[in-house]
Amino acid sequence: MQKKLTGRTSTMRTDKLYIKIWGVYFGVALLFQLLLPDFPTSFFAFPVNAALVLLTLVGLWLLRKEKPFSPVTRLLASPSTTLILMSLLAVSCLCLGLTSRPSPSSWWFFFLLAALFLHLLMVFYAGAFRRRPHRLRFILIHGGLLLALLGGFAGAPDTAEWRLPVGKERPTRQAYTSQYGKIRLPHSLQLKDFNVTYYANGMPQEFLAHLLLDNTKNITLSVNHPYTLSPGDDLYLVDYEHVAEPRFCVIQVVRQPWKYVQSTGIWLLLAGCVMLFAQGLPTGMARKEKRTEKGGQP
Amino acid sequence: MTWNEFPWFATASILLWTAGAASALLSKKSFSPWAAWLTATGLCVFAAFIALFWTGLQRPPLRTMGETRLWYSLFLMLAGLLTYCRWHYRWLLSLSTVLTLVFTLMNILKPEIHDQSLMPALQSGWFVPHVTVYIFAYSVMGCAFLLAMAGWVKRTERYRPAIDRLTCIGLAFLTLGMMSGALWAKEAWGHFWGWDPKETWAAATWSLYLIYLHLRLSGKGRASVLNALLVVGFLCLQMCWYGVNYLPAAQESMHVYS
Repeated sequence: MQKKLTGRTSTMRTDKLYIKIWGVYFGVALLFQLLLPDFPTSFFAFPVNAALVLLTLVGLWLLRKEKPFSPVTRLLASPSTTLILMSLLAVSCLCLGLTSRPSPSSWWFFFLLAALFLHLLMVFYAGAFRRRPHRLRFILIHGGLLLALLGGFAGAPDTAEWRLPVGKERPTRQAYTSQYGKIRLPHSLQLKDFNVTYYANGMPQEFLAHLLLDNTKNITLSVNHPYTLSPGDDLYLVDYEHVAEPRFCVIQVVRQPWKYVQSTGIWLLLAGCVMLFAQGLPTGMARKEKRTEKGGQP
Repeated sequence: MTWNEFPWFATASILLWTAGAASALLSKKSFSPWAAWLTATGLCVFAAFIALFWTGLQRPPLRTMGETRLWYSLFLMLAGLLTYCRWHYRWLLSLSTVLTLVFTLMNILKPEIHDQSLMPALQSGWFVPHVTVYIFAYSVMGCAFLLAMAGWVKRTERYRPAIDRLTCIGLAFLTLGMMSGALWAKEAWGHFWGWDPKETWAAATWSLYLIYLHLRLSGKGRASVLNALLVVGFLCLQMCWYGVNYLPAAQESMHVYS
């Protein structure tokens, strides 16, 4: 009994310490957000982001292997850290849900996502390489989430999008950024034909753009059916001239080389969730359930 | 089959569900097979309307708010029935019937235009799985919310095993819905995640249920905290489903279809 109480007091003390540490960390994030201009996303473009990711993967692996009981390892792998970070994510999302869309270059979200990534990586290392019940499920869910987060977070500096109006008269390469900056694309596009079909109530049922790529290749674009220009670059049909015979359409070019990392993560997570549904409660909760059903404390 | 026939099917289903709920409440045994059969028959009637309506519309009835309420009513009763069959909480069918009645009445009193048109953005293989999986998750979480409220009012932890199981299933489906939405968003708009107001609320809801699951795993959460999380999670879920449409931020949302 005495031992149990001492253990509980010690856990509470550790929890309080972790709250203080994360409090300081997010205090700095808040100061940066208030005092500094936006987070310099472009500085972390490839290869800086790839090098940093590699360094983090190796660094945390070594830390976990060589110093499994160091304060940093314990802080990063602690269940209290999970709860603190998830609570902060929930509160941040609630605040933003009521106000506006967050900027990808906000310091607050950079600090939050960085902390979540480090924590998730440490939890993954701690759980994936030891015998445990539902190990595959753990790997799929946590590994999938890790990859999805990694692709979005580390891939953000390499992500770009441009829009270009494509007409029927001549091929064009001129695209525009969201701030109306001009950029010359390595490929040319020309509109060959544009078909719109309507429902009886006047709502468009389908619109198709037939385009000529680089004066040689015929491609067709429609909503939900992008065209892969090169690994990482996709073309999307986003708008068209709203007249009976459209003479131009608007094409969006999205460059997202980390999309493969992100989609792999998402598919793993989907598989993990199917397993979560099929296999039921995580082991710890199943044990508590048995205790409750036997009439004990949950 | 058109929307005009909905009140007939809805009335038949509600009568069957009410009879099932009354049978469960009045039964001397902890589990009444009559209650289960009556509720299941009501579900069949309601599902038959959805199937016939789908055929009549020539598109999945998942576009408008009214159409998603149809699925919510169906899945909520299904989740209630399965929970009743597994844990024999005799009052649960009454609560899920009342909640379903509210959503069904909303559909009868505020009918929306249910035409055959389906805008191009929704013509995707992801449309049906994404929306049905999400609505199923909402219904299961709705059931967990009812149990949490009951536990709170009665000051008991008796319902915790059922709440845990429902939250676990609900979270699995919530994640499936969110991730299938991310894959669809990449196909349609070019990005997996865009912090659209609806996505932000989805992330908030998902985080709250994740906190619940991790609190249960670590054994740290007190009953009041756990129940409060389920209540706030359920409210966020309602915001994510339709509440977000009433916020100023919804003006810039890409998730407005009706």
